[in-house]
Amino acid sequence: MAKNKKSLSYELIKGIVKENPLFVLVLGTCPALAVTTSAFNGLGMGIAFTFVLIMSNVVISALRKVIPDSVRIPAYITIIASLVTIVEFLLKAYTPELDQSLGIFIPLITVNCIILGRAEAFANRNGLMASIMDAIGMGLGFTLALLLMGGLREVFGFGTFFGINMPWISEGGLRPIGIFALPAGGFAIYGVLVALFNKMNHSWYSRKPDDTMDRRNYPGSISARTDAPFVSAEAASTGTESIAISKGSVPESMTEPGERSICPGERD
Amino acid sequence: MAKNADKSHNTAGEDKTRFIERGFMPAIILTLIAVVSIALLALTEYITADARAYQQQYMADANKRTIFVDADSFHAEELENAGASLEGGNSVDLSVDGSVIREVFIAERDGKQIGILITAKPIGYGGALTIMLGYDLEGNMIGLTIDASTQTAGLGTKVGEADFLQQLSGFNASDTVSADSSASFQVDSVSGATISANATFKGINAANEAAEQILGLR
Amino acid sequence: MQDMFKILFSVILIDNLVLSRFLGVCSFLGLTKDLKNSMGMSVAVIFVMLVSTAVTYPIYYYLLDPSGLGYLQTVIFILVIAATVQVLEAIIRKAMPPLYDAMGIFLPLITTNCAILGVMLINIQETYSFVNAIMSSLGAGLGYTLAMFLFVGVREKMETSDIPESFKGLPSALMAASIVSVAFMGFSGVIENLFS
Repeated sequence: MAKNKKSLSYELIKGIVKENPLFVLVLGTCPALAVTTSAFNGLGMGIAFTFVLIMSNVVISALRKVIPDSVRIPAYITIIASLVTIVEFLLKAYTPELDQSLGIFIPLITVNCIILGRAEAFANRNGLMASIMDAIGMGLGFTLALLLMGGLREVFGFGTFFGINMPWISEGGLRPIGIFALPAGGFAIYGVLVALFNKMNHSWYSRKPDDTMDRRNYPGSISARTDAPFVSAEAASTGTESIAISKGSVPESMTEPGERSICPGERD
Repeated sequence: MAKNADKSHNTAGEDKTRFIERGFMPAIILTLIAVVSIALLALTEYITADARAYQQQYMADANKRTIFVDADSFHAEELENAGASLEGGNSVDLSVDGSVIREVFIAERDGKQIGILITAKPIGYGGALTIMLGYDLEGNMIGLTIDASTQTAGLGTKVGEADFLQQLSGFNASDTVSADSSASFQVDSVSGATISANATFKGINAANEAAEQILGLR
Repeated sequence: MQDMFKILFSVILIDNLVLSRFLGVCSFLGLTKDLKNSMGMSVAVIFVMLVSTAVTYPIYYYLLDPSGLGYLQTVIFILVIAATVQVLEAIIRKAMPPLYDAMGIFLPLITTNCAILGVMLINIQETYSFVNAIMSSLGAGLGYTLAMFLFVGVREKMETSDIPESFKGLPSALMAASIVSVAFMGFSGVIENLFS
């Protein structure tokens, strides 16, 4: 499917509602559920993530003509992992409380399919400016999403927002609802927000989210509508639902070991 | 293979692409990338080393200072010979398997030893609790801090809160602390957080035991 | 000995990889529509977990830590995992074709599964001995399998329910996951009392 060069501002804005990585593409769910116990943690994680994403897109876009295709994946992994470790050092040195709250999810940014996916699908074929805009847009969308989730869970689960007590919480009156601070609450809030974004995309763009984007640009994304992680080109155009994984229905490019994308989905 | 959109560089691009895909070039380029990345990493590690060490020490000492408010330094003891530097104390090997004791410090003020500090890390629910207990030289408990951030938010974390903490004072290293009526120092547990509370008691009692041995109180 | 089993069971039930620690959620949500996919992925996960632990543990304790290069663990571990997966895939393809048919296609996807890297890092963080690390990884894989297995059943049941438009698909799955997570909370207290 030929893709015309969209404007730079489009790249920036699409990550917020239309193609929000967390609520529409359903990527990077692990850190989102785990660190959003408070708005501050969510924001911190979002900023760290955005930094890694931007730097990774910059480096990979700058080196895109130099990195051989056969060692593409190990090269990207090395670059991203190193960037993540650098961010970890910076956090440990200057914001140790954030480092302690985020715990192992900082190193786990390395395997976040958003970063690897953008590198593979966008940064290695587009110029520097476009890649930067794309990274900023995705990072912004992810950060806002984390902030939203963290904020909701903190307000309902602890009765505070960024540490400030909410006026309706008092000893004898309303107490916070503990379950929102627990994993169960995390899942629930996430579910409600995905449904909300479904509705928003449906009414604002009067099309199902799947139709508004070229899914091949987002390896690893799970369709929030049909819930199908592996969709071949024919299935996408005929709108068929998820396909069971069997030798026959796996796209050609996925049957060669070493050629397969390590984030689920298809490659060119 | 990724398709390049620049038509103008096509021939030169093709040549270059073929060159970088040939023979050992992929391996060389990958090694180069790895070397540069690791070099940058080592550089950042070096640059931030001081700041990180400071933060670590600060966060560690901050806790200790809430217990021994007027101590000016804390001397770390080796777990294998805990108490060796304590005058009139016993050297105890606390590094045995299964021990929850992680650190032993001797608090000093004006060159005099004023007490010992023991850190225990019992495993609670979903993670380890960090408990720090300070004792004077007679084994009386001076203060304690509990870091329960790894426990279940809203339930297990209650063992780190004032309600629970305020009952944990005034005991001696020879006491057993728990919610059991058989304990010599009985306290209330936290409803809905039995695992975290029991882990806390386990940590406190392990620290008491270690303190007794080090101070030679038995 | 007791320690081993304590870790094993607590990691499966209390500290469940997906429902409690939030590792491996992407694959959990994406693959539990189909029992075959889930089981294939679970087997692959357990395999890779065990092999990766066996490889990364000595690398950390005999190579990185002694030379003060502990901070390279993220980079080294992920590269080791990626390489392990490649090697495993080649071996299984040649040596055990039926196994490859069943779960081979999931192997590359595991590289980016936060569960593997996560458990490797946790094993180091908790300073487990080698045996305990293996138990922890085994438990993580088994817990993952258990969660997937239960969840597939739940989702199958949901197929026949009448769900509002916006909630169809993923959101309803998430609400179900939330309830399953609450159910698992009921296991707390069981392990402590069984083994102490």
